[in-house]
Amino acid sequence: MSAAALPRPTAPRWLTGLVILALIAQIGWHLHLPDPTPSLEPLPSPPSLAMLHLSSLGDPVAGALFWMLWLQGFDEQSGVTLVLRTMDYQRLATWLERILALDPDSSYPLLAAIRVYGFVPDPKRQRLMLDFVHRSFLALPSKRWEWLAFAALQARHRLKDAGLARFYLNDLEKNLDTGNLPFWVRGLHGRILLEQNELAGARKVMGGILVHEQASEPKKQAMVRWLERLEEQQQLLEHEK
Amino acid sequence: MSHTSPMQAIPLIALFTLREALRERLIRALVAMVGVGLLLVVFIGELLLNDSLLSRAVMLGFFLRLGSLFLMMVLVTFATARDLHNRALDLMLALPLPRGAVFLGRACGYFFCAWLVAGVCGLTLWPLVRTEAVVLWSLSLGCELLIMSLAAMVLTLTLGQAPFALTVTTGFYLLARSISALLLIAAQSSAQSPHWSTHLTQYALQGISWVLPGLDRFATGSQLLLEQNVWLPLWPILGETGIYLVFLTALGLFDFYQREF
Repeated sequence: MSAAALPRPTAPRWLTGLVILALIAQIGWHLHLPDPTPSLEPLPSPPSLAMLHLSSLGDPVAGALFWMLWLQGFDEQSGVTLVLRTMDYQRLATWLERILALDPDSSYPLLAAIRVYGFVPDPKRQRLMLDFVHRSFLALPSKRWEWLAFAALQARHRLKDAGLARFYLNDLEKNLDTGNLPFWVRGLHGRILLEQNELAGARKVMGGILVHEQASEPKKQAMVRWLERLEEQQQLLEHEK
Repeated sequence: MSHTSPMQAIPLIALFTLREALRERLIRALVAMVGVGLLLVVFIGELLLNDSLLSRAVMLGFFLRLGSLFLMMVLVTFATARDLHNRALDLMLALPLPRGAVFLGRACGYFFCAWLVAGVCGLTLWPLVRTEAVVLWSLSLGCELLIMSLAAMVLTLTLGQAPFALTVTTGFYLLARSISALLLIAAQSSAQSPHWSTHLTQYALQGISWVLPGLDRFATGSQLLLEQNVWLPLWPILGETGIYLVFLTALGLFDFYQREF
């Protein structure tokens, strides 16, 4: 007998019925289960750096990225602002510090600290994030200066703490060659000094920009005029004293 | 094959092994793995704050590395176990060939598969990172796959049963990738509490690390990000692969020659 002539094997009918019944029971079971409710889980303590290394199976770059995505997941529990406000920021800073130590070449934890966690509407928590960025900068200034500059910007505009911004910018200039800093960072420093009536300091910073920066002629002219006005103001102040 | 010399038999058996693996839907499994990896990367890319191509490449590389390792380990373990149980090996050994030729032929066949898998993984990553970095990573992954394929074959020949052999091979792989971190933890705890038991653990781990391949240096995410001195990490990897393949081959042959079929 050829294979084509053989009757096609079929399952017993009761088995088909059983499959359908089991499927209905499974769907019915899930329909009766309560809907998942969002629960706010507190951020656990970060594991040690050695444990993070172990969990990354010898690939710290990928491991650090995975841990950052996991950490980001805590924001999405039920509304970003609510969770960030209730999050333990001291613990969060330690998490970010450990992940950064796992992959020191990455800037992802610093980006998250400035652009995500630093946007929390709570000055105390914002300061913790800026402090983390500052500490990270001091550990590796040449690679992380940009993030401290952003931290200074955030301190000035969001936190309205020009003193803190000035402290960060001073540290930037102390640890790096000022000529390598971009125009906007030195400009920010000059403006903060001006706001705080530190006219001599502002003149020094702006004069430095004029010397180092490859600015166009109209821009240079404007800066020269601005510096002259600054000098007049300073002389006036000294005269009043 | 009665007039075939061992040097002719090894490539023949290797080719036969490769064809067998292709019949086992290796290409289909590879395509499925790459497809899932790409979907995963698109999903993860949506979660990333910086949306950088390199971050996506690191994640894809991590997935492809684990996926290809699992694929090769399963392929080799089940094919070797089948050889043992359906008497295919007995038939091959009945031919006028030294046992070593059969063993090496099988191993070379799996090596072809390993390079095929590493090549496909490299091609998947190619549009995302620099060419030199992808070549380094693919070579490094190929070396890792060679070691793990041979380890899976030797362990299956020794242990006999596929599920048991696969469990032991997985354990061996995880240990080889995490031994550096374990040594770090042991050194830390030994420094914090200098007790004889912590010292003993540290020395035991040190001893284990000497006989394991340092797989934590193979096909890492950092290799995909390299911009300078790209070929520098390759030489230790090639050295380690060469030595470990000789070690595993010698170990496997020793057991294979003693075995009663």
